[in-house]
Amino acid sequence: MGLLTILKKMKQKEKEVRILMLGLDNAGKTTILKKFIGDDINTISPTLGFNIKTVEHRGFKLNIWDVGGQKSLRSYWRNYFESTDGLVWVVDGADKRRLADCVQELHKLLVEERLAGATLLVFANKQDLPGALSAVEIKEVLDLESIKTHHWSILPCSAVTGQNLLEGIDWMLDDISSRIFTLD
Amino acid sequence: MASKPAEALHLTDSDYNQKKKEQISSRLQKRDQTRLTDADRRRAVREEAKVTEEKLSFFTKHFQEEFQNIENMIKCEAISSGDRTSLLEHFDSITASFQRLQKFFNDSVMFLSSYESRKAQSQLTSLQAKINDKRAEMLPKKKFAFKSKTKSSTDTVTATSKPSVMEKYSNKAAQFKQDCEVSGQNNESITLKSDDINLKDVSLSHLTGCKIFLFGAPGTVHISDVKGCTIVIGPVSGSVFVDRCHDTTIAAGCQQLRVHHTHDTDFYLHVTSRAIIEDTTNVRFAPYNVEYVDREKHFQLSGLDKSKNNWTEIDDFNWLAMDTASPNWKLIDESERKTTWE
Repeated sequence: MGLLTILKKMKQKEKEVRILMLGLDNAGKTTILKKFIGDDINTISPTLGFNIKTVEHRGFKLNIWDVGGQKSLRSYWRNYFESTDGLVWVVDGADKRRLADCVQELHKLLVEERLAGATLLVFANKQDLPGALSAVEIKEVLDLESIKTHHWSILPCSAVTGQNLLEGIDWMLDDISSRIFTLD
Repeated sequence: MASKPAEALHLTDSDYNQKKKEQISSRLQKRDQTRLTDADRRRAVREEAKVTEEKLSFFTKHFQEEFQNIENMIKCEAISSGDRTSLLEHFDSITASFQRLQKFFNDSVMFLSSYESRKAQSQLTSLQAKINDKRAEMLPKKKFAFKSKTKSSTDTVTATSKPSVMEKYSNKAAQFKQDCEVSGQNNESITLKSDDINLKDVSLSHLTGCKIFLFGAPGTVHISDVKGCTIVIGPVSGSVFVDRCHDTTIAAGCQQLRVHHTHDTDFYLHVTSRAIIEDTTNVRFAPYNVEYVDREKHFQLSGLDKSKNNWTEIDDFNWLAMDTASPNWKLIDESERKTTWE
């Protein structure tokens, strides 16, 4: 029995999934997290460091890590890569000025060896704002079609209204579980 | 009397025989038992070997078939090299098949001998390399760089193969510009009213020596590359984002304030959650004190809590020490505060 198989078996027993949420500052990562678990979203401060929340969802135990996106914190992102099952990349759909930054940071992550197995979910956030870019436009700008190394999907969402958050996480869980928990 | 001992002797004799017989038969029985269990064990071992063999032959057969299949697909015989979309699809299906094969191999590793698994793994590696080479040959990868956006007209490769992406994007941005952006002004006084900006994403950039008034409740405000300006904003329901500003005064109500690469700037702030600064020096803070018609209405529209103002609590991302205050910002003395905004 290979080490991989043993690891898979162990994961299967625990049904524990580790999700890492990244994106530029002001993208809405913390708001998505708080909305998803049902906390108040009106008092959110820019994240100095990180938040971690654990929720039970569909029989899985989700450990969601939300790491601050300020430029000075980005160099610490790599400390959170280890054993990540799913990567949520949050894009501020209304912030067109920094899309170039956003693309570069994302593609920097995708070549990371320690994120190699992770499922990628892109949230095109802030759809509640007029003038926000659609998911299709963001998909093109981020050049997602060129990604062959990860399973990926993009969804338009709004952390404020909660639109599509659940759908996104569900897709991610389906993908992760088909990868990890199917070995019987 | 003589018969009795004889009888006894006889008895003992037969008794003895009986005992011996029993002994022998039990020994035989025991031997038979061990033979049987031995046979059982041997049979089990044999069968197990057979199963392994079957599994192995199944694996080898299936693996080689699939391997050959992918190799054939890589040749790309049926597709002309000019047809980009069907080539893309073709390579996607190759990648999918390859991933299936890799998974099949991973699942089978358990019963493969180390020689077998090494052999299969090396085949997989070389196959992956072949796929990559072929893809590079058939679909030359576009250089990934954002510079191409600005010079997309000169970059013929991008222009011919996929002209729409960047163009569409910059069109979109241009259209947005007319909507809600103030940019490239010098020494102007500009006022935008609530109809133009309510709940919108407003952008102020590349301004020098201007007075900007945004009397309304925008959704978010981005301020960048501004110097020597006075910027007055109503209550913003989301965040105010400030980048590369100096010698400027900004008054705003907001949920969050994020300041980057800024120096020598004053903020008159109503912030309901937190303000942060990063790569910023010599900025000062005072409470929001702008009065204008409809201010209350706009506060209501923005949903900001008027009773909660954290203007004194600033997080500096370049100053993580908790025990001493950041030298990069301070509060403005009441005597020094600006009181008129027109």
